[in-house]
Amino acid sequence: MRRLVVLLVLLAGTASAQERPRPGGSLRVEGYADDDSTLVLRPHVSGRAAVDEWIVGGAYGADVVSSASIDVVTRASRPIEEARHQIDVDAGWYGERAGNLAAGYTLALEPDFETHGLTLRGGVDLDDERMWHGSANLAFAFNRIRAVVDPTFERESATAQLGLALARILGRGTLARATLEGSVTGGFQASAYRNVRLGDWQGMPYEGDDPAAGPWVFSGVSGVARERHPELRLRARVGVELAQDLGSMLALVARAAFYGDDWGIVAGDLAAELRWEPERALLLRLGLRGYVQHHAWFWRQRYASADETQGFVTDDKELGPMRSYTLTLAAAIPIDPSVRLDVRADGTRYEYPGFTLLFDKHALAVQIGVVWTP
Amino acid sequence: MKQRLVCALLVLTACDPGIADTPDAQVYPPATRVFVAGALDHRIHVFDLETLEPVTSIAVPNGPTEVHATPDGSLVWVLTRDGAAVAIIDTATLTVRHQVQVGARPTHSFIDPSYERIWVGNDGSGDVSRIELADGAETRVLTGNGHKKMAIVTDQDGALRFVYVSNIADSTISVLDPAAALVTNVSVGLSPHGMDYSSLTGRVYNCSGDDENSVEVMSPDAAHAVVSRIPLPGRCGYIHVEPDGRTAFASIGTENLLARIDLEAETVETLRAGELPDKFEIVGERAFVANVTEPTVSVVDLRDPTAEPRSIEIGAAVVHGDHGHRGMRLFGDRVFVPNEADHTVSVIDVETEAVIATLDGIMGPSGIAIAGAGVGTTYPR
Repeated sequence: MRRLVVLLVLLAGTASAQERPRPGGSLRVEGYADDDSTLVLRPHVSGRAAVDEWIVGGAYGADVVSSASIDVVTRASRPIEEARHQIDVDAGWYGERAGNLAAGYTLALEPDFETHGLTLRGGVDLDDERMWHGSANLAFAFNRIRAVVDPTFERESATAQLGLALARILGRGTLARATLEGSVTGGFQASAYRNVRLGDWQGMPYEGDDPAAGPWVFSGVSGVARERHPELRLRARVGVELAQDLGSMLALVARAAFYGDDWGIVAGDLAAELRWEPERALLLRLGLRGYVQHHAWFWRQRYASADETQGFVTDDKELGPMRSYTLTLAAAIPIDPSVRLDVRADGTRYEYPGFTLLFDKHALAVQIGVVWTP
Repeated sequence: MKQRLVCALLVLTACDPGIADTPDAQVYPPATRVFVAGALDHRIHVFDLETLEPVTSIAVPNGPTEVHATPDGSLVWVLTRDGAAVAIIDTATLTVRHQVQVGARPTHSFIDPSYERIWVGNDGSGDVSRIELADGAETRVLTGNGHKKMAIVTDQDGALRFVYVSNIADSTISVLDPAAALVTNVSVGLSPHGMDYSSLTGRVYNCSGDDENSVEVMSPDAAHAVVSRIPLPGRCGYIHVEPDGRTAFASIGTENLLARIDLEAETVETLRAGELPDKFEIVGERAFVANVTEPTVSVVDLRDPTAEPRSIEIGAAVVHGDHGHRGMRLFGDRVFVPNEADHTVSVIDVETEAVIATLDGIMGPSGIAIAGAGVGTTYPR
C-alpha cells in the first residue's frame, strides 16, 4: 500500500490522492505576469490538524489582479484592479484500510463573482492485495455573477461534477490510473461585459491623441450584439496517467487526456514530468505540457450577423482555437526535518490562431512557499 | 445672443420690465441656481445664481460628473459614472426624486425635443439609456462600443426624428429611430467624437479622425450616409452648431485652434485659442474657450482671426499626460468654468472678461448646470 500511495502522490492529478494528509501548514506566494498586460499576485496560506482519524483543514488564498489585457481594453473597459478571495474548509476521515471520506466547502468572492462550492470525495482499496484503488469525487458549485459597472446586472449559474478514478499497480515501480470526469453547468456563462462586434471589421491600435478613444479602434463594424452563450454545457474528460520508477531516484510521470463538450470544443492534453530525488526529501521536477483545442461551434472570427449562429455570439478567445505549451521547473528543498521550501516556475506560450487582436501570449508564473509538517 | 434670449424670455414671463431695462442690472428668475457636480465629494453643490452663495448640497454617490437642467428649470439630472446611475433632482425641493440605473459608465446625456425624456450614452456597456424624467422609467438600446456623444435630429416642427450616437471605439455612428424602434449602424471615420445637428441644413456634423481630420457631414435623408467632408487642420473633439444653424464652432485641441465652420458653404476659418482648447461658449463676436493644459480661459475675437486671444487666469484642470477635459457653462453675463484640480469654479463676467468670484468647497468639480426657466437646450436648433 505504501508504494501505491507514494505513486499516487506522484501522480497528484485529477482524482484525489489517498494518502492521509499530514498535519501542518503552508504559506505560498505566486506572482504571474504576461505580455498581455496582466499581473497577478496570489498569496495563499493553509493549515491542517489531526483529530483521531480525522483531518481538518482550512485555507485562504487571494488573487490580486491588475490588468489592461486585450480582453479588457477591447470591451471599452478601463484597466481593472481587483481582488479575489477564497476560503476553503475541509474535513476528512481516513481509516487504516477501509478507505477515506472527506468533504469540503469553498467560498470565493470577487467584486462581480461569488461562488459557493461543496465537494465530497472518497477512496477505497478494491482488493485484498491492494493493487487496485478506486476513488470518486462529487462537487457542486453555485455562482452569482454581477457586473461592477452595472448594479442592475445579476445572473446565476450552477455546476455539478462527478469524477471517478481507478488506479492499479502494474508492476514494480509502475502505476497507472484512468480518470473520467463529467459535469453539467446551467445558467449564465457569458461575460457580463462583452459586446461582440458584427461585420467584416478591422481592429488597430489607436495612435491618435483623443484620450476617450482608448488603445484600440475598430472600423467596418456593422453592428454589435451582447455576448450570448448557451445556458447549458455538458463536459466530459477522460485521462490516463502513468508513473514509472526509472531507478537512480528518477521517476517519469506521463499524462494524456481528451476533453469534449456539447459546445463543440474538443481538446487534447499531453504532459510529461521527470522527477529526481538526489537526496532524501530534495525533489527536483522538470515538466512539459502541450494543449490543443478546437473552437466552440458558435465561435467565429467574424460574425456577419448574430443570427448566423442562432443568436449565440462570443468574443471569448478561450472558446476559439487555441494551443498552449508549458515548461515547468520545480523544487522541494528541505530546510530541516519538518520544514521545506517549495519553488516552482511555469512558463507558458499561448496561441490563439483565430483571434484577431491577440495571436499569442507569453506568461510566467513563479511560486515560492514554505511548508511545515511537524 | 443667449443673453438677449434669456432677457427676452424673462420679460415675457417673470421679469419686471422696469428692472430688466435698468442698465447694469442683471435679473434672474427667483429659482435660478447653479448646480455643480463634485465628483470627489459625491455631492451636487447648489449656489444661488445672483449672490453666488451656497444654498445647499445634495448627496449623489459614486462620482457625479455631468449635470444638466430641463428648460423649465424644474429638474436637474446628474450622471454618476461609477455608479451606472442617473439621479433626477427636483429643483423645488432640492432632493433626489429618482435614482435610475443605467448602463455602465454613463458619460454624456441629451434631452430630446419632448423635454420629457433624456438619452444617456453608457460608454462601458455599449448602449444608450432612454429615461422618462417624470417617473424615471428606463429602457436601454444596444448601440456600439466606446465613448459616446449624440446629436438630436428633429423634423421641421421640432419633433424628434433620430438620435445619432457616436461609438468612438467602433468607428461607427448608431442611428436610433425611436418611431420605428430601429438601430442602424453607419461606418464613419476613425473614432468619431463630437456631433451636432443643424435644422437649417438638415445635416449632422461629426468630428472624426482618419488619414485626414475632418468634420463628416451626414444626411438623415440619405440613409444617414456621409455626404461630404469638411477638412480641418487637426482633429476636433467638440463641435457646436449655433442656434441659427448656419455656423458651427469646433475646438481642435492638438492645434490650439478654434474652427468656425460655415455650414452652408462648408468652409472653415481657424482662430487661435489657448493650450488644448476644449469646451467653449459663443458670446456675440467673442468665444470664451476653456483650456485644459493651462489655467486659462481664452477670449477669441471672432471678428479678427489673426488676433491673439486674450487670457483670463482661472484655476487648473486635471491633466492626464498631455490631455484632459474641461467644461464650461454660460448664463447671462456669466461664464462658469470648473477647475477640477483646484476644487473650485471660476465665475467670469463676460463684459469685463474678469473673474468676479471663485466658488469653493467642491471636491473635483466636474459638470455645471444652470436651472431656471428658459435655460438649457431647446429645439429646433
